[in-house]
Amino acid sequence: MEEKKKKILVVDDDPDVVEVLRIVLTSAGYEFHCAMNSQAAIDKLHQVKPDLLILDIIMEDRSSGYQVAQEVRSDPSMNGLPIIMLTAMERETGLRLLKAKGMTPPTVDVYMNKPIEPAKLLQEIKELLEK
Amino acid sequence: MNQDAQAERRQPSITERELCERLAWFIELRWFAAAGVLVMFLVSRYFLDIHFPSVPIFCIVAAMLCYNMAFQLYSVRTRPCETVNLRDIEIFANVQISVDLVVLTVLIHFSGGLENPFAVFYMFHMIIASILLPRRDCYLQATIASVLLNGLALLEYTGALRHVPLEGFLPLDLYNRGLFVLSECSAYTLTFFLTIYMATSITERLRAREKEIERTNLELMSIHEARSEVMRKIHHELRAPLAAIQSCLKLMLDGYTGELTEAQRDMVERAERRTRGLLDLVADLLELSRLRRELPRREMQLVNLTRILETEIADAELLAKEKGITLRRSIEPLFVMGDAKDLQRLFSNLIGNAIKYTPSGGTVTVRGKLARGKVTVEVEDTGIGIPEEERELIFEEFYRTKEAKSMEVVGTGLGLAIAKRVVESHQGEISVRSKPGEGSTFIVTLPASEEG
Repeated sequence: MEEKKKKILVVDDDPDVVEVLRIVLTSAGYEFHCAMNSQAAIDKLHQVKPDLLILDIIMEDRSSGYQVAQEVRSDPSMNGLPIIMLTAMERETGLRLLKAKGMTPPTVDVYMNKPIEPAKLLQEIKELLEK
Repeated sequence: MNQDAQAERRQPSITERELCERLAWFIELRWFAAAGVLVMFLVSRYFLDIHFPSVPIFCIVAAMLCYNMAFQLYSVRTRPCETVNLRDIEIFANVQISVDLVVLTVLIHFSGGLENPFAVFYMFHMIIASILLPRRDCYLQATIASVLLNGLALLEYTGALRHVPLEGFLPLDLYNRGLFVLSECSAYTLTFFLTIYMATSITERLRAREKEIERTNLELMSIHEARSEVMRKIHHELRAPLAAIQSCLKLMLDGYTGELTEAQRDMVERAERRTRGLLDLVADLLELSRLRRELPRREMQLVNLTRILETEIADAELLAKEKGITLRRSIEPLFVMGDAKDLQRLFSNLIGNAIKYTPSGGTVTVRGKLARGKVTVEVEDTGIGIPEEERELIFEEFYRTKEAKSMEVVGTGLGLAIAKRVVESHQGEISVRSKPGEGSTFIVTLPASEEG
């Protein structure tokens, strides 16, 4: 029996990044879904029920990527959903912005910086999905 | 106490801290004053043959020792200065000064009254009060001093209080001359108030200026904070599109969009390389603002500096070869405590610069040696050199020498600024020796560390 395709939801407001990820992920055999803002992301989360989440810290509302992560972590139905933070922002900067807003950073599984390194990203995804 | 005042207390101004620290000093000085009184008494009596009653003098010295002990005990409570209310400290200082003035008056009474030249000692308190205390407290002390001195003179003049003459020092009938007493008293009184007036005029202005400086400082800090925030935003705005471009190019190079022809691959590789360069520049800018803001640094570790230098030289070799420059090295085993990433950046900048600004056929030499607990790394080139008047300026951000600009070599003017910050954050020094047209040598010294 053929294994069902794993679903990955990408949340990023940069269409070019989304396109790059679409090519990388579909060619690696994953089912690709995307959302361009945090509200759409939360809707898609319930609709698609992805196996893995790739989040950017979206710029219009600087910490909305973290908000999505927080939503996921507070919802028991999505318990254990792996999250990759993929952003051009340095980790320290992101965390500082969050702290400035008085928020505690939600736990994410992997923190990766852009530019995207396809091989590295796919390796991380594989490891997270096999866990 | 309301919260504002509490918040204020936690940040005492320079004057307030000075006052608090001086309290202990007053007490210390008073031990010497007590000893001084005793010595003066003995000297007057046995060497100068001036006689005045000894019992009151001993009593006064004993009293000084007693109340100073009390002050000492009390002052333990005023430490540390940050936790004490400023007004409490001021009141304590006022009390000390007033008690001193009273005791001084008693002492003067038993040692000749106005005849005693040491009556000028009142002035010490006037001066110290003017420097440390608010103006109204100073006038209070001047008034107390005047009342005490004039009161003493009046009582002794009228005979209400028996005058104790300094036998053998001055004619004994001075107190019979009203004019003498009057002029002495008015001279003292005037001097007290004039001193307070003059000294406080100056210190008040100084205090106002100090407050203004503190305020300006706070303003500057908030401007700096805001600017850093803007810088961070700019960094992100630059970085995000560059990262997107880089991601697209990597995708092509990794074959996701089909096989590339050799010519296509070459072009994409070039584009990728330049984008990486730009990303590096943005990272450098971020790094510089990190170093400038003195954010909590990364942890210092034992770093094998020799390995870093060898790696950087190996990286630079290709570029040197392309330009026809000989790259020489002589490096001893060197270890320092530091941030490997920062040190790498430092020497990659210095070696890169040396190659960049040395014409074809030249030589770049990297020397590393250990001497007297210090690591010295020299990067010497036979390049364009740096004119003397520009030697300090090259470490400024974005500064590039005229000569460097005219060489049309790409440069951001940030490398040496970062280098300097890195060296400073490692408690080291960086300097340059140069002869225009013949070459430059950059010298970095860092505190050495033992291996392992």
